[in-house]
Amino acid sequence: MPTGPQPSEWLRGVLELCVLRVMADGPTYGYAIAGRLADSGFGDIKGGTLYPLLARLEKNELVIVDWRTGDSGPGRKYFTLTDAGRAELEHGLTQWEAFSARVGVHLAAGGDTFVHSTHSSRSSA
Amino acid sequence: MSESPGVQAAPQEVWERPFVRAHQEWCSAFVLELRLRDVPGPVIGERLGEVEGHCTETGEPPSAAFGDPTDYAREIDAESSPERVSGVWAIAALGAGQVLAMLVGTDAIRHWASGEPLTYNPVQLGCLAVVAAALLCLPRVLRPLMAHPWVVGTALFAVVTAAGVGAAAAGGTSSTVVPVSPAVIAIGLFAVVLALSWLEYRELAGDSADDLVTSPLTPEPRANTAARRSGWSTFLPPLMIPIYYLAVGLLSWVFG
Repeated sequence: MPTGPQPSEWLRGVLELCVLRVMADGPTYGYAIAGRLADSGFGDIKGGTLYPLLARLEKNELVIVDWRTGDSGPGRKYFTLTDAGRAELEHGLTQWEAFSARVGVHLAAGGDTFVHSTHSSRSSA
Repeated sequence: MSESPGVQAAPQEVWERPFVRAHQEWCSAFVLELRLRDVPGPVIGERLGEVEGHCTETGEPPSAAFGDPTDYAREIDAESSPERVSGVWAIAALGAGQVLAMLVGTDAIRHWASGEPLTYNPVQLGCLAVVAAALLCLPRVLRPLMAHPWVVGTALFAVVTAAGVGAAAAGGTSSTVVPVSPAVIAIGLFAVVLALSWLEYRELAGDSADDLVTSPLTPEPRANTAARRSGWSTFLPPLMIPIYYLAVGLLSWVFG
């Protein structure tokens, strides 16, 4: 089924988790992260969106950074997950799985579960 | 902030980089906004290095990849470590001290040349305080001054001019004689101006060594013009007021 790009509000909520997941595969740099996200169907993530997020990860010590000479170009800033970053990723994945399952159940039931449980609780009361 | 094996061996000012020269307007606005937010030079250089590295790989201009430079500078600064430099306030205080010493000292030279005692009254002291306050608040008004140079600049000029006119107009009113020879005051305040100039030079030299906007990227093969430029820009500002002091003193002797 063809799907267009997701609403930007959705992406904003999960972009940090997706970036952490890319970093879990090893040290990487901004352009490569944007490329991996594009390959995963998230569309073109602009530098103005990505680098403030990377700066926040750096400030919160979820990554360490180092500048390396690139194969082409002047150099690259590599990001490597710290132990705190891996813990944040694990925590985020757990939260996301629970949240997406909840949303999935809700959407599949069209809200019936909520209405049903509300009616049940009122009846029993 | 970052580890930089191999690449930062020879820090280069960002202004030397072809990318920055090619996108001068965007990069200047970006650096200016971060400077106004007191972000240290090397941190600004690192942020600009991210922009250059990313744009080099995507082939996009910075305006397409990062949007408006001022907005992006605010956003990236809000997400960064709160490192700040405070040298601008020290330089403002030293500059204000120099200007006050110059105003009183050159007035003392005029009295010395005409053989009159130096006098003062409360209005003149108040006007001096207004000038000092205007100079001390310069770092705070720098951002509105850059955004609205005519409006804010005219307002500042009007305040300082009004203080000058007020002090001159108050000269005819009853004044207290300063119980020290104008010659001693003139020479003493010139010594003060020189001492403050030296401190300002030390502050600027420290800044130029530690707070240049240097790039973490591989240096481009031309850098020495930056060293020459920073040398002059360090040397000239502290010398301006002593030179002005001497020039006014000389004119007072010749025409006084």
